[in-house]
Amino acid sequence: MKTLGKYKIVLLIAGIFLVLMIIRTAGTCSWKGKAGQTGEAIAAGTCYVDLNKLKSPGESSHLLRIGNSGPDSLLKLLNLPETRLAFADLKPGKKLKELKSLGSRMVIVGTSREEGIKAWVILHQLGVKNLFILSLPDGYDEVLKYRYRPDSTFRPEPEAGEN
Amino acid sequence: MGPISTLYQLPEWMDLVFALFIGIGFGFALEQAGFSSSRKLAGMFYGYDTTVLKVFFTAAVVALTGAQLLSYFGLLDLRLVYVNEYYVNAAIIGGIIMGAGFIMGGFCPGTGVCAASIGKIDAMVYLLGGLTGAFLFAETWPWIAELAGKNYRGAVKINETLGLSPALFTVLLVAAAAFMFWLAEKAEKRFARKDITSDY
Amino acid sequence: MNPRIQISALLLALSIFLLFFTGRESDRFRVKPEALSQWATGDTSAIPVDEVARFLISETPGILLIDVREEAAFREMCLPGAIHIPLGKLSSQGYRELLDDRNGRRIFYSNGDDLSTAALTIAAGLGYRHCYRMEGGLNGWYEKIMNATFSGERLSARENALLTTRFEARRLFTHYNSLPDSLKAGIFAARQLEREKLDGGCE
Repeated sequence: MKTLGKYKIVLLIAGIFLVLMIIRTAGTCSWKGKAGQTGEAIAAGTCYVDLNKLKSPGESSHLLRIGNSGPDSLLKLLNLPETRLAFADLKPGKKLKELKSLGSRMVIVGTSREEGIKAWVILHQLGVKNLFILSLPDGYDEVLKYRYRPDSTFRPEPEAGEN
Repeated sequence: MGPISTLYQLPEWMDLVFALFIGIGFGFALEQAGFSSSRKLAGMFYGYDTTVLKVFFTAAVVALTGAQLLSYFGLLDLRLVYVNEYYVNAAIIGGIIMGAGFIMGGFCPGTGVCAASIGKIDAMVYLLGGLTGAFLFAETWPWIAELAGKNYRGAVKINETLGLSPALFTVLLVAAAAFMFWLAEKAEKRFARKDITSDY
Repeated sequence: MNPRIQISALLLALSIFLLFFTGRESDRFRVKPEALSQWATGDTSAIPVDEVARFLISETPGILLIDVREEAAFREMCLPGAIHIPLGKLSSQGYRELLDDRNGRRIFYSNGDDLSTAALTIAAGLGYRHCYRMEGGLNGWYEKIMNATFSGERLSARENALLTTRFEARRLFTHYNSLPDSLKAGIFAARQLEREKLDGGCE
């Protein structure tokens, strides 16, 4: 106790900094996953699920509708349970707890591709498991629809070497 | 937030005002530490007075930890802080010349100015010598340039070369400094010279 | 109490805190979840293909194009001057200096919109500002730039400017990708020379 008393000032200053540092990191503790893994999952395309798979009776699915995406006619037929989410809900709170306790496969439906991806990245980082994006009927958009043809006649020298 | 003069592009006169105040603080600290006494400085080499080591190392670890903390709290962008460039040959040769001058003259450049300002004649002569050296260096630059520019390594950082994170390097350096302070105080007791240190 | 020991103890404590708090956050999102969801709501960082083409041919300083597709696809063909960062490596410490820069703009692109949007979201989560993405990706680039044709009879000044940009961007793109890797950087120097001749500029 006596030695502790001698270090009073040291403990006080260190304590203040410790508190400040805890406050600074406090909000970011809810990020669970590694950003690299999220990126790899998207690059590998394992985050998508297509409509046919939803139809198969094996596993129950739950739709997560982002923004005001309307009911798709094809999806309507499946009659799946759904939750409506705004981007503002994608943070730790009641909604996130609800999602985590669902247990079934969650499928994101957004008004646009970008919305779906954004929501997937954020939810995946918040630690939501068994999460997919509904791949749209127009297919995977990361396929290059054109073929690149090099210009075999092009030589760099004439332009640079004229003077 | 920081570094202020880089980020906010202050007018030159304001940079100079900052420099003036920082300089006053630096000179004050040097004088307070007793660095205007060449005996104190030479004591470092003989081991009877290790104030130089303690002061400079304390300054280094305080600045290091402080800069890391400021960077952590987003108050300082460390990537904008200038890192001195490393010329291997120049550092070795310059280091030898500087060390020799230091032990012979009893001052390093900063403390020389400090001592000259309190009226020490030897320090004034020392400064004159320093200025002469700088003049000669500038005049002979064409002949030295090649040698001085050899083995250029760019702005390297020790922690990056060792592959350590900045925070880990900070911990190691602070621990090393604390160990050195302890060792230095032991040395002071061992090599104590009452007759020299007590007369100022 | 010896103040030297106190100061040493304090510095040691602070540096250990730093080690503890900075050591673990390397590969994790750094902004607060609230801030990220707010960003996602009001995100306007999609840049049209034509604007990217304009950046390219005018060689706007501070623009960095980042290809987030697979390595092989990047090797085969990429936008002129682009660098390659795979999506999984975006958060690695090595790219931090490049991405976390207050000056300039970084534009992600992929074949479509998915990977670039993912890259953008990850970058936003990591707290990197001034990040954008090319709307439509390379498919959009091909549609608008590579397959640009003039149809109709009269050309307004605006259309003319747009088409000139597109044709020049197409030329740059094809030339750049036809070169071996070692010569790719040279194409910008060659263009510089060409421009000086056109402008009649002196050195």
